[in-house]
Amino acid sequence: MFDNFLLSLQIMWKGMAGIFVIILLITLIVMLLTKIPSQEKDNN
Amino acid sequence: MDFLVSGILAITPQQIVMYGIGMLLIYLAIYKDFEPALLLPMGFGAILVNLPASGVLNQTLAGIGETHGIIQWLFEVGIEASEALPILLFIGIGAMIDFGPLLSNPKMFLFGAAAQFGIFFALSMATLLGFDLKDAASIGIIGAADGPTSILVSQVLGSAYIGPIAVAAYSYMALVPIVQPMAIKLVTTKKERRIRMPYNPSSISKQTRILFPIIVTFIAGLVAPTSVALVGFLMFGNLIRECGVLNSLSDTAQNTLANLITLLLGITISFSMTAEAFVKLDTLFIMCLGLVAFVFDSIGGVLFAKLLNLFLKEKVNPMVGAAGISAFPMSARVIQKMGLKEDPTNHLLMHAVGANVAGQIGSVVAGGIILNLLTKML
Repeated sequence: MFDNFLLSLQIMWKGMAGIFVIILLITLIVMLLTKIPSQEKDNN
Repeated sequence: MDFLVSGILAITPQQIVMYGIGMLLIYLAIYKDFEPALLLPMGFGAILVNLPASGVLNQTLAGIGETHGIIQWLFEVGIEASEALPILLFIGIGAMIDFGPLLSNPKMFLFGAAAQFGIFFALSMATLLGFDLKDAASIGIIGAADGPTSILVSQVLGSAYIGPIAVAAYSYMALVPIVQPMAIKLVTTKKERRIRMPYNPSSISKQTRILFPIIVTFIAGLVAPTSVALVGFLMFGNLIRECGVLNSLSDTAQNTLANLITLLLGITISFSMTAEAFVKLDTLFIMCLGLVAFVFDSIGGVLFAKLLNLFLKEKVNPMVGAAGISAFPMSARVIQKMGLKEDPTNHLLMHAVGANVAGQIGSVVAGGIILNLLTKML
């Protein structure tokens, strides 16, 4: 049981780190995309 | 005339408990409006599969041999063999989501990551209660606050608890207006809850809206390949919505497809609600762990917002962090309501909506990452 708990802590830090890496990448790309000028804009 | 009463005599006490649970789910769906589209079919299905020698399950009949039951067939084909039902539902969900409030305020993406903390906290707690890693991960994913993701992950991991997990996921999603205020108040002060956030959205081009689902699919798919089915179908639905040339398909995905799949998904999941699989102490543990997952999702989001505030000039109302879960739009509405309660002129809705749709991406990414990590570790 305790072995599984230790493994779960590994899953916790790796999982949260993985989610943040993916989300940060997406955030940066979206920020870049919004900087690209476009003729057609909307605010919806 | 024994054959007329044989059914009644064959009812077990556990099956009576399941009739009670089925009736409770139907009651909650109809009279309390708790996720009625899912809880009502699940409740009725729970009654169907627990009738003695139920014809909705495969049976071996004397003199005839094996007969096939419709609910078991739906489960085997639609969930067990391909996870098709939850995955197809993502097309409809993707077509329903307007990522505009998020794209115009990309900072909100971060809350969609932070508010997945409850998944991993509940996973760890589940291991301490004696669940093996596969079951613990399946239970933890209740914290994704996303029914289809919970069903898909627990099915791929081969968990025996798919029924209780689905019931917990949908029940707590319906209970977000009760669970989140309690969790948020635990970790915020009145002063923090009154923080104002001006809303100045930047304009979003159609080009950005179209590129967004494609880019998200690439990033999530390359970093966590097991998330492709989840993220890919969600983003496929969103691309149909945003491309502007498939309005009819977008409308079908949002309404007809989503309704049809939802209708079948609830009753199909009830296959895993047979008395012998459901009436166990473990089910009680799973319901408690589901609550823990939702509470720590909210706490994770709030604490991350507080951490960000140490570095930001324009402070974020920490309550917005809790909206980074996938339960849309309930969570955003809860934050708006709480904000107005503290200060009737403080409108947090659009910020919370941004965090809330980020949570929809965060939850499917979390599902993919859990599958990725588990398959590498086991």
